[in-house]
Amino acid sequence: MSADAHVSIQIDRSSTPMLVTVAGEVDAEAAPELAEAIAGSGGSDLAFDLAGVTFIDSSGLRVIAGAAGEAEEAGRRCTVVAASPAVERIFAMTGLTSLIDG
Amino acid sequence: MPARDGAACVVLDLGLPGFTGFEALDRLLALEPATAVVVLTGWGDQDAGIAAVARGAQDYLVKGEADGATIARSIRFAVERKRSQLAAAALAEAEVRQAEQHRLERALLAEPVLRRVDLSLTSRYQAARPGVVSGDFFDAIELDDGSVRLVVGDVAGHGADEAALGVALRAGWRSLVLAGLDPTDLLLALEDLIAAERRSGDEFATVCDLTIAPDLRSVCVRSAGHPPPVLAGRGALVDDARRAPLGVRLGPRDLPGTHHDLPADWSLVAYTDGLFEVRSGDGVLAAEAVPPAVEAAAGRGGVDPDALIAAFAGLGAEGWRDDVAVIVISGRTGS
Repeated sequence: MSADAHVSIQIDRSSTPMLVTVAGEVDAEAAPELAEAIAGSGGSDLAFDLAGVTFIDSSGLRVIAGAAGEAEEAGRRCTVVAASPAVERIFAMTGLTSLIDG
Repeated sequence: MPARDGAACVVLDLGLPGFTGFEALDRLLALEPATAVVVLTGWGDQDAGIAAVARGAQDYLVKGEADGATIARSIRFAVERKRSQLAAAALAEAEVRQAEQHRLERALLAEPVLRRVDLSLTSRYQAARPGVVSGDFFDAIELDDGSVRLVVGDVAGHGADEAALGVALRAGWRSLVLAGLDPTDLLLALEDLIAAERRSGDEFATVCDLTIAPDLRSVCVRSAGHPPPVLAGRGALVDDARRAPLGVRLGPRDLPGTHHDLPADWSLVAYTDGLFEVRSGDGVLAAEAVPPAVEAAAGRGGVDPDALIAAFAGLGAEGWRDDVAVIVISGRTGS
C-alpha cells in the first residue's frame, strides 16, 4: 500500500532535540511508519518539522499528539518547530496549537 | 488459483517414502491452501482415500484401478471442487465480516427517538472502505425537562480497537447523561474512560457535546478537539475553550462550554472529520469548506444530509479518506 511512497520521514538523531522531518501526506497508511520511526527515539526530546506536510488526518494527529502526551508525562519536551498551513489549520481546530513552537 | 509454481492440482502418493500417515498431505494443504489435491492410495485402500478427502483432499484414486481417462476426470473434478470450496469459504467470510460490521455500526450510531414535535433529527453514515469500521459514534437523548443532549465523536484511526473504544464512549456518554452528571464534567469523565479502555497508549478521540435548551433558543457547545458544528445561516459554532482531544492529556481540565443563541427556525449540522478529509484535485479541504456546503444543502425543511454528503463526495478525487457521520437536527420555534 505504501508502494507509492507519498510520505517521507527523516530523522536526525545527532541533533538535540531529535529532529523528525516529515513531508507529504500523513494519513492512515503513513501513520504507522511515522509511529515506528519515532518509537526508537529512546526517551530523548523530540522536535517535529512539518513544514512539508501537505495533508494530515486523525491517524497522523494521533501519532504526534500521542508522542506529545507521552513526553509531557515523562517530563520531556516534544514540540512542532515548523508547520505547513494544512497542519496549522488542523492543529487549530483540534486544540493542539499549543504544541507548535514559536 | 494455481500454486506458486503454477500447478492447479497436485496428485499425491500417500505412500511417499519418508512420510508417515497423512503427513505429506497435511504439509501440502498447509503450504498450498489454494491448490487442489488428488491422493493416490495403495491397492484396495479405499479407507485411506476417504480419510484423505475428509482431511482436505478433493478426490482419491486407488493405484492400479484408475486408467488415464479416470485420472484426467478426477483431476478436473478436483480443480473444480477446490475452486467452489474456496469461493464458498470467501463468501462465508465476507458475510461474517459484513454482519460484524453491521453490529458494530449499530453499537456506534444510535437511532435516537425525540418525542418533541418541534424538533427533527436525521443522521447518515458513510464508511470510507467497505468492511472497515472506524470509531465514529453518535447519540442523542431528550431529557425530561425538554432539553436535548447530543454527542458526536471520532476515535482516531481505523480498526476493531478503535470501533470498540467508540462503542465504549457512546455507552459511557449515554450512561453519564442519564445519571445526571454535570455536563461541565462529562467529557473529562470520558477522558478517564479512554485511559482505562484503550489498548495502545496513544488512542484519542475528538468529541463534541451539545446541550440544546428546553426553549430551543440556545445551544451550549462543548468540544474536545472536534470540528465545530455548523448552524445554517450562521456558520460554525465554536467552543472558545479549543480544548485538545480526549486522551491527549494537554490543556484545561474543565469544559464550561460556549453558549450560542439559536434563531426561530434553525438547522444544525454536527459531523465527524471525515467530511472534510475528502481531498479535492487541488489540495485538501479544510473545515472552512463545511459552512458553505451546509448553506448549499439547506432548504426549507432544514439541511439535507444526503445533499451535504454528495457535495463533498463530488469533490473527492480519491474517494473518502475517512468515515463520515452527519447529523442534522432542526428546531421550529417560530409562529
